[in-house]
Amino acid sequence: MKRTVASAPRLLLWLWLAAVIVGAFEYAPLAAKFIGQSSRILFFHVPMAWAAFTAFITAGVYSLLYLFGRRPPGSLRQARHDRAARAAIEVGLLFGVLATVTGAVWSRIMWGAYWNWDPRQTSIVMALIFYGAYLALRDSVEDAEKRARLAAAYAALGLVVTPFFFFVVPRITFSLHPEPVINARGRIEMNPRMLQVLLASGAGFTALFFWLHDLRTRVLTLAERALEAAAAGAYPADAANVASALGARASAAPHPNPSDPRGAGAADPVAPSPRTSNW
Amino acid sequence: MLPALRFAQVRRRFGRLAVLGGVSASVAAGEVLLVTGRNGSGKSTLLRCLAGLLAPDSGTIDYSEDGAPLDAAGRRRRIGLVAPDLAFYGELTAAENLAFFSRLRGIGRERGDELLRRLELPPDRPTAALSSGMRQRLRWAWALLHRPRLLLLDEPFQNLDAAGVAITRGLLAEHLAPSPIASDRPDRQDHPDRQDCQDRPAGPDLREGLAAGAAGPDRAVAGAAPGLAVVANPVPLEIGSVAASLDLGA
Amino acid sequence: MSRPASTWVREAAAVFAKEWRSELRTRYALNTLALFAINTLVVVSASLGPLGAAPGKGSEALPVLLWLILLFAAAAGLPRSFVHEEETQTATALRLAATPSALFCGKLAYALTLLAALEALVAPLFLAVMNLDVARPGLLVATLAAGGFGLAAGSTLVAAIIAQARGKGTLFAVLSFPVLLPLLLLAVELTRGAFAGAPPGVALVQLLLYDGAVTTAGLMLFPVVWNP
Repeated sequence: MKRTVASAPRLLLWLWLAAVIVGAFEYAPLAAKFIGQSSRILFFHVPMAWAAFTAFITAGVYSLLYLFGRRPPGSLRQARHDRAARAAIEVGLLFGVLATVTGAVWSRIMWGAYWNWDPRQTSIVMALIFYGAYLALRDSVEDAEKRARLAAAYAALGLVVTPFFFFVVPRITFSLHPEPVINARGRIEMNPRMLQVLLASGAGFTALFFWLHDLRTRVLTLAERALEAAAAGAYPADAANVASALGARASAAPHPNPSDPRGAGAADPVAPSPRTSNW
Repeated sequence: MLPALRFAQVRRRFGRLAVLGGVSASVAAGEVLLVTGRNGSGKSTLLRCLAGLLAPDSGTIDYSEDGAPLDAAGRRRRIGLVAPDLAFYGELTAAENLAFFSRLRGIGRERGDELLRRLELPPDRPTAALSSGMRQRLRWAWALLHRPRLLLLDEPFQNLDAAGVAITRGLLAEHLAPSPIASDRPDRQDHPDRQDCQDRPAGPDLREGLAAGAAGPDRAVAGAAPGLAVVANPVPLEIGSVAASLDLGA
Repeated sequence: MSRPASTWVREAAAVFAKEWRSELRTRYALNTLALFAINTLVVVSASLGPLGAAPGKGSEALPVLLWLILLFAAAAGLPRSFVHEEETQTATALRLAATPSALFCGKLAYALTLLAALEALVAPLFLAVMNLDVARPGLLVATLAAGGFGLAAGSTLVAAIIAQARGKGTLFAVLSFPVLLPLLLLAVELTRGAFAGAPPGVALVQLLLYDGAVTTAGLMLFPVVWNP
């Protein structure tokens, strides 16, 4: 993706979503059993839930990549996978909360109450709590490597748990939710125009997720590099320093001669000369 | 099968604090690498990285035998660690602790029993009731239980009395240069090193002492490869076979 | 795994034996589980009042209460097996000596037996105190077994994760309850059926599937949770 503001794919996404919004209100007909215009919410509520699911699965995949993926020799796990997983969860939580809110609004219109303890409603919230717990876990671990590893394990566990939340739990008991449209029985029983707008919206929201995910990952990467630059002793005092710190990933440790039998190293990269210590 | 340890450019930071800033060294069979430095200079961190308990941020650590690197299970078989934060199950006795780890490692109880005897540990007292010196001796027993090739010793003689230091120095010397005479003999009454070991290098004297008193029911450790050791201590220690020293800064 | 199966089994058995030997000497987990469960049971039944004597009136809630008692007792008593290792720093020795998957299985077996003991205490007491008749006792036993298995497996993995973090007590509940929720819902559904005499349907299969999925995830993820 080109890193300029008005790049072509991004414009396309905005136009696409604009078309979806117009289509939701003008092109698609109203659904039969819904009150008033409230069926329009379908075109946003369902794709957001789908985007959240996609986000959580993406996070799980990146977490597995982080934990078990190939490593370049001489270094540890690829931190960028962990950052991508965390970004996916954060954006997924955003979409999940929006899906829950839109669902609650619609529930209010249809049945007069924002919250019914409907199994599907509740199970999505439990999934959101699971991933909120992921963020709580990250906050509870000081060491960076351990934090990434434990969080990745939890997000990988989410690959098992999340499908249960999204697909199995809602079917355990009677639900007020309308019949799920595309899954379960494989037969699609929706007006073709509605289906078109719904699928278009789904594609649009998924693309929106990947775009937001990319942005968030880049922010996390920049933050990480700033931290490393600070740790290496290169406190950015002006623009030039900032540029070199972010670009060069410098570490000022002296390089000892490996064939020297009396190997020497220094703990503090700023202090140049090692010397023996006696107390 | 000669073991060797080599690490290069090991870096580790905790948050903003760079504890290890790119340290490198190598140790070969029969040698000791002595790591010194003031408190907080990263000695324990380095040893934990070498033991596999901590992942360095970057750098390589290669422990290999005959050039072939080992997997995690191989490292568990080959590495022994003595460190101040090593602890055992307080409600179990020393013998039970060693028996548990023996069972984990698939070795018989005899080795644990003989180490308990050699280190003069009371086998049937709960570990929580042991003095700090006794606990240090138990750490040595645990570290040597599986006859490791690489010994990582972090402040190995802390809390030990003179007798304890003598015994453990002897164990270290045997680890570095096992010979058919370097057996597990129960009686050490006539050992010359017991009198004063604080200011004498233990290596050559110990070997002479062992060669002199070769009688007794010895079990030969024939064909055992010499081990290697990395010893970390705030002040330099007098240990024979120190091939290299690494000072992590003042 | 490069080690033969027999050594792996021996390792897991050694861990299991060590856990129980320590536990029988200190009785910490047994006391915690038993006292917690009994306390909760007393509170629940006392506040329900004579409800228990009249089945049908509020009996919808009873399966939920049974599983909540089991869940909270498990959360109070199970994480200790990993948290204690980290807090007393015995985990260092274990990391250097034990094969991770064998360690996980040993700890899981310990959690299973502990939970089985808990269920053996709580379930009969619950039925007696609530004056319940069980129409399908076989289904109840199967549900307790399958649900208990999942409870133990999920708790063991999450305990291993939080043992290395801070705020262990509350963090365990925060992390484990979402994981255990599908299990609870299924178990409650099945228990309700067992009391009322309804057939299990697909729920038992789903519960067993969930158990299998969580256990497999635990076996695969534990090595990376345990070692850097």
